[in-house]
Amino acid sequence: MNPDQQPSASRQAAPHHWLWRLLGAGALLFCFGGAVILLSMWTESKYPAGDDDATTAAFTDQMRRMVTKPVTVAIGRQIDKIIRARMDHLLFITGITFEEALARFLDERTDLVERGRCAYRLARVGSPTAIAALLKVFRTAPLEQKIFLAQLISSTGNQSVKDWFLPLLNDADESVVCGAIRGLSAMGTDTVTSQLAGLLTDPNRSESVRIEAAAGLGNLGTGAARDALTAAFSTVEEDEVAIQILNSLGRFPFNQVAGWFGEYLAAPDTPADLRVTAVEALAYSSNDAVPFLLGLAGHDSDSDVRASSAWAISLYSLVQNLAPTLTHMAQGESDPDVRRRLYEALLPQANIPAAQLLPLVLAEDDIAARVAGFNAISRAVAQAPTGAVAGTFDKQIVPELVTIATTPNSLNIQLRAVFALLQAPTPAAQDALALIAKTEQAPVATAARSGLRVPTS
Amino acid sequence: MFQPKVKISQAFAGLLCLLLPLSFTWGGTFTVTIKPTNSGTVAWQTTNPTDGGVFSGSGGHFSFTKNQTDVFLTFFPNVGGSIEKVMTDEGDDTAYLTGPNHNMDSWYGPGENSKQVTVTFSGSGPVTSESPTGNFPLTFPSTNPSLTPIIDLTGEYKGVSPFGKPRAYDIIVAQDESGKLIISGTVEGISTNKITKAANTSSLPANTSFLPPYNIGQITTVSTNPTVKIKGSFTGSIDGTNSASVSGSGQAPLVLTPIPMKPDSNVIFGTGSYVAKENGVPIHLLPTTGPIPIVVSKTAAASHIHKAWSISLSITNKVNAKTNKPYIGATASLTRPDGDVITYPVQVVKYSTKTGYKLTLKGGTNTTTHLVDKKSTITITGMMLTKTGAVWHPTAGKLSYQFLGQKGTGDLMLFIE
Repeated sequence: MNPDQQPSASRQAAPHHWLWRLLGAGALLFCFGGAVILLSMWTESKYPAGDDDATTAAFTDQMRRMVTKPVTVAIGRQIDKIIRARMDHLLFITGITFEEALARFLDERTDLVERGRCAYRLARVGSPTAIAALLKVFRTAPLEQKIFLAQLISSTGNQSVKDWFLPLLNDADESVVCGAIRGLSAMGTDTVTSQLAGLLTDPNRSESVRIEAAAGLGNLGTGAARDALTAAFSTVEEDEVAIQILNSLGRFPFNQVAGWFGEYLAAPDTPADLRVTAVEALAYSSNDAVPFLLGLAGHDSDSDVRASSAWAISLYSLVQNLAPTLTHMAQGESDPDVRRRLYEALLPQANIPAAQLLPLVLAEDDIAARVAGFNAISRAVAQAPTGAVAGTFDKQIVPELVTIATTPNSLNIQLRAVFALLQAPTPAAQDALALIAKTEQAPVATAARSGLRVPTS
Repeated sequence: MFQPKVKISQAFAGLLCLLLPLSFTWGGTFTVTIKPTNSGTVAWQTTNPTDGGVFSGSGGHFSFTKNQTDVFLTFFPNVGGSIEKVMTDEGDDTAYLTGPNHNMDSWYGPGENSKQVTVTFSGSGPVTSESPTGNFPLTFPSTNPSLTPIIDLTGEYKGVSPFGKPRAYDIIVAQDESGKLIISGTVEGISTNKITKAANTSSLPANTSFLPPYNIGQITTVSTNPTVKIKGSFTGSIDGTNSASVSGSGQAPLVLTPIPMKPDSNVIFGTGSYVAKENGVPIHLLPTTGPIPIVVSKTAAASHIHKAWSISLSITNKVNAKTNKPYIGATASLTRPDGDVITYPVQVVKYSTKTGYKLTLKGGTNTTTHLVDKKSTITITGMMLTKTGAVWHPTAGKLSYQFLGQKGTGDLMLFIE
């Protein structure tokens, strides 16, 4: 071998060597990235970040918040784009070309729903031609079509149509103003926030417009919107506007409004009915509102507030570790209405302590509380079909539920009695449903028939 | 010194007249005390000068202008009521009544600048003029768009989902007296892992399980519109393979907007937001926030949106069994859109010719559950009535209603059929 050739060979081999290294590194990076993605998806699927029950999580909460959640959100965003495009195609394009959609939209004979779909597509496309067509129709459309189109177009999030809606806030027709508010609140900009805040506090505006403005600020959900709502609350005189402000504030993540609600509910001059409204508004906040609501449900001096708090808790169906606490609260509660709501709050809970609950429920005189309690017991039986309480449920509770469901009574109570039977996977409950299904009262019999399809264990 | 004399009024049946003969110039205040105190109201009227009003509680006063000659003061007692005694600051003038215990009594009064008169009434209507009584059915006019409806959504909802993959659903909704909603049922291809499953699933669609009952939200009145507010979450599987979770909230005013060229349907505009995940990855089937048009057929709306309700109001003369005092009692029953009937206990009411009846019905009893219903309240104010023949008819008033978590207010006359 010519020694002079060796360096030459090495020089020739070097590019391959680097290429392989590069490919190897790329493969490693790809594998690592894929592993992170898969692991993130798995852990977010099993233990979502922000889940209250962190004790069973695979990673620390910090890891989940900093790595797994952002990864899945980023992937989700991309998938979302693809799905949105597909859904847009399925729902709103209906296999026609853009030009055909444009023509149908401009044709006044086209039915409003179809026209709305075309409008949605044009707004999504957002090209100058599409926007010009939308503007042309929007300006000349009859009132009811204008409101319909405004709301539909706004749901696309196309910011370019915002400028059309802002002048509508001064329209003489209240329904147009309210439609524009609903449309604008889906777009969410600072301009919109300040416009809606102005409407909310404008004494020359009608009550319904001010209520809609408060609702719109709740939809926006920004810090500025929250500040506008809290500032307006101290100045509004109309109860209905104040109620809507409370409802809008209740929709914010709890950590953003906790202080405000805490002070408002603790203030001695807060009217009793507005305290109830405030508590029920928090039913639509975030999971971290639950401890606050538990405190009210257990200790507030007003039984209506306690009942409303318990009901609000029942809407947090993803918080499922409250069964012992709620049962203990029911044991110490003197008002049957509050106990009824506490039983309802047990429905989404895991590991309902049926044995502790049973004597309490069987002692209920108030039929609404009793049936609510039966539902909680039934859910507990579904969770532990072989437990000791299942026998009592079949022998004692099932016959009573049949009587309640088949005796002339409040339809609401009758249906809830059927619901209690629907959940319990016991033969006695199935027999009872079969019996009720043969009765003549349509809604009750229908509900029982639907329950007969429940698999028996 | 003034000399009283008797004069019989021929003008009105059931008339008590105080004739004040004044052959000289005079004027002043006449103070009338009625007994028993706080036993009701009595309408009065004067002629020459013409004046009138209602005395209540312990009585009242009226003033005369000068340069009058004769003044007649007339009370309008209830049928069966009469004057038992008349005392003035000059002494007992009962003897000057034309018939001491008869409605045709009249009295010829003095003409001093001020005078105290104490009139003691007895009989079935203590002191008052005839108060309107009768039965007054009030029915919510479902077709009047100016009134806020109260809606009950209880029932079965079947159909095919309008968004995404068409899925058959069969949902039962129950609404309680506070407007709180609970649902249960099935959605094709949706299975929850929260309930025990077994092999016997033949009658259910594939990969479908029964969804256990959950509180889902409420219906309330927002700006005169009944509005559904919902919040819910689901964790389970879709079509038997992918684990999925959906949580979200939204609200929809139940305002049925007509759709041009689609006369069989209306549209409801809701707003909402949600988070959906499939295998842990966030997905969006629709825009995650903003207005959502929901097309509702008129047939479905008619069968599911129950808004017929009525009140049966009864106002009658009654006697307190303990004190033997007569009074006007009002009672009512409310038939709600969900079919429940709430009966309200008798309450004492007073009729004013100026302000009519005012009554608040609350704390009634649900006749089906036998529970006190704290959530159903009716308020009637300014209920004015006129008599045609022997029957009283409402002519004006305001009705406020609050039940099933919702509320409204309207002109009482719109509820008269």
